Amino acid sequence: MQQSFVFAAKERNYMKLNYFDVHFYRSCKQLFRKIRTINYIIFEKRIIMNNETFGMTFQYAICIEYDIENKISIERIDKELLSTFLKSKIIRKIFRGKSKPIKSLYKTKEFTSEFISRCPHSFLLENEETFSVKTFKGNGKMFAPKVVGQAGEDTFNHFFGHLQKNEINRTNFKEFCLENISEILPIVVDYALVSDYNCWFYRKDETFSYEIIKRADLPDLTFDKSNFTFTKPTSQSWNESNNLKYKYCA
Amino acid sequence: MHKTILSKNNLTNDDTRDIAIKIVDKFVEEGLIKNCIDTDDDTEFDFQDIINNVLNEVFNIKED
Repeated sequence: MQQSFVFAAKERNYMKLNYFDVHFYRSCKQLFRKIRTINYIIFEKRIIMNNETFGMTFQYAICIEYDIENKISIERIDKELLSTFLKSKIIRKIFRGKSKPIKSLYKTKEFTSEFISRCPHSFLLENEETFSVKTFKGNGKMFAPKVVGQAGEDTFNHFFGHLQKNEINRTNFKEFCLENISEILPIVVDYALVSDYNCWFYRKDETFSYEIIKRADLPDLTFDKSNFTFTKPTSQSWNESNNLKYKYCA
Repeated sequence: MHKTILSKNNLTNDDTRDIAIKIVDKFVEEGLIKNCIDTDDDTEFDFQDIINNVLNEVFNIKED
């Protein structure tokens, strides 16, 4: 079997350097045990909104359902979708058998640090576990993990700098990725499932489905460097992005 | 980059993605799209993916 990942090394001529964008194809969920997928035909008419509005509305609906104070601006939610979420009782279904959410972590400083400016989780549960929401639209299959997915130079060196002696910069970034991919990827995957419960919504036309992926179900991932192939195998052939493939035995 | 791509006979998804990234970078430089470095904001990726998908449709390129 083969999994595909896309690495994009973006280079700008301005002071801010964006080195490391990681796209994970949604098919990487095959690496993890799927908990539950429910398909909902929930829109009576096509509602055009972006993923952020969808995700924020869902978070707001959780706050309404569990009477949780929050800092979500009412202007950022879709009232019609909110009503749909609440009437469908989907939220109770999602949290059935789990600890209930007690605190919205949106715009809080919890779980933050010098290199994590925003809390990566959406909710704190009663048993102190964390819960987050991610939305994919249409056939959208890719996302950048939180914290490390769009790292600037300082952030990138903080999380990956221990993998080599010299500081990672514009000049050596591509070689660094090509040489250290088997050590880089576990860190990236770790932040792909950053919360104890990761709720991923998939929106397509008038329907959406969801699945909840538990961080505890993440297997110990050890990548064999010899099983990686890059579509641009050298730093000379690598322009902006690179497609990384990994062959593994299921 | 553009000379390398234009000299090729067949474009690939890597090529169209590279073009999309360049376009998004220009939008960010011009302040038309928010700079998403060191954030969890997917705006740049959303624009990138749309441009990439349209280019793939135009040039009949399938993703890897």
